[in-house]
Amino acid sequence: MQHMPDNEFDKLFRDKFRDAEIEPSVNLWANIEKELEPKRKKVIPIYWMAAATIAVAITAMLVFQKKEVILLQGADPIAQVQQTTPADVIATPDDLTKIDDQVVTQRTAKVSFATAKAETKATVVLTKDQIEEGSKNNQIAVQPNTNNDRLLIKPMDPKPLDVEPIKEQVVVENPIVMAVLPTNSKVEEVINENTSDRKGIRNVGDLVNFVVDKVDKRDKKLVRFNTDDDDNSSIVGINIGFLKFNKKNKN
Amino acid sequence: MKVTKTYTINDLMEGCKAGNRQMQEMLYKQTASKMLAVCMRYAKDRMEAEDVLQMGYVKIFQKVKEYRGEGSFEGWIRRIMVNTAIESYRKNLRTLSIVPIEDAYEQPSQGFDFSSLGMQDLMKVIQKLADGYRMVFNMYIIEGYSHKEIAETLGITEGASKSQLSRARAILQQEIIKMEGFGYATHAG
Repeated sequence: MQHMPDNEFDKLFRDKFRDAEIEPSVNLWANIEKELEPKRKKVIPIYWMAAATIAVAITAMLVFQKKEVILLQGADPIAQVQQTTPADVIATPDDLTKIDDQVVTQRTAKVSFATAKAETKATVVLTKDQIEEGSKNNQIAVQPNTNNDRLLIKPMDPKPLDVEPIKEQVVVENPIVMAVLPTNSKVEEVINENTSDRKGIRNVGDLVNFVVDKVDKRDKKLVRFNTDDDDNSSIVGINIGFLKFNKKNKN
Repeated sequence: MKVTKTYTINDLMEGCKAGNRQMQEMLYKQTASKMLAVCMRYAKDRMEAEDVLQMGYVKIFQKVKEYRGEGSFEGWIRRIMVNTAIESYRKNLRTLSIVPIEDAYEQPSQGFDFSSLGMQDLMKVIQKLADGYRMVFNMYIIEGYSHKEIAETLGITEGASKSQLSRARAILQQEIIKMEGFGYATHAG
């Protein structure tokens, strides 16, 4: 085999190929152009898909948000009731005041809810003050209330469907609260009258309220109508997670 | 070339960065024949080379915004072509096996002088090399990669790169002598 110095050999090739040109096929540019085209078009559907994905994600977040709120409010009071016994009530007054506050605030919402009169507001403030000042009486008074609240609701569940659950709760609480807090009794008697009047579904507002009550167990319902004035149902409360509106709370 | 002289290669580069289709076509027409010559060295035949050329230009137009003016624009285009050719070789590596060179040779070149051998003739010889040899030969001798770089790129050892290069040289010389008949043997001896 013949040998030529490697450098010389390499240089020969390098020189030969340095400026080498070979004309490509005529249709090659058309192929390249075709390959460049579709990638520009594909950009648009990607944006649409992204927008659709975001919309789905937001919807899903709203749905889950609602469920979480319902669970939290439902679980808390039960846990508290099960843990505290009457003996604990006397031992730890501080803890109880907290529970009382919660119970009272919940009740104020309901009370002001049911009776649209100005009197309610005053009485509610009184009960709050009382509990804060003389905690002993109220603690003893309210603690069994919370216990009984849960125990009594169960047997009363199979009541006629046309009665709104919220009103029921208020009615259940009444007899116990009346015994210890005379100031409350008047207010809650009024509630009794109000609720007793309301039987059956008289208009669309009632129907919506009924359905929402069944589905939405929160204090502030998804949609709440005021159906007190027979025919003119007016919306009083909306709660769609991020959007909350309640006419009565503002009073 | 058909390109109007008012456009320099830098004008074309700017046009391609802006995504101007006409400018892309002009750049292609101005550079494609040189680039096909590059691709042909790495490919087994013209069809394979034109596939690589097409992939290379698509890549060039997609990546042209990343070109920061380091080195000449044509050099940058050539680098992308070479990389595309190497990538294509590595993708096909599994399906290809090293085939020993056939002794048969059809049309000897007219001239007997080594330097009179045409580029087309040398191209044919290179394309007849086994794939591994052809890669190392092109990368080391024409593109100027070091054995270390070749070893890293092709996933072989530096020793393998060196031995494949000397083997490729030997085969090429043999083939060229065959092409020239007895001419070179007496001349270089």
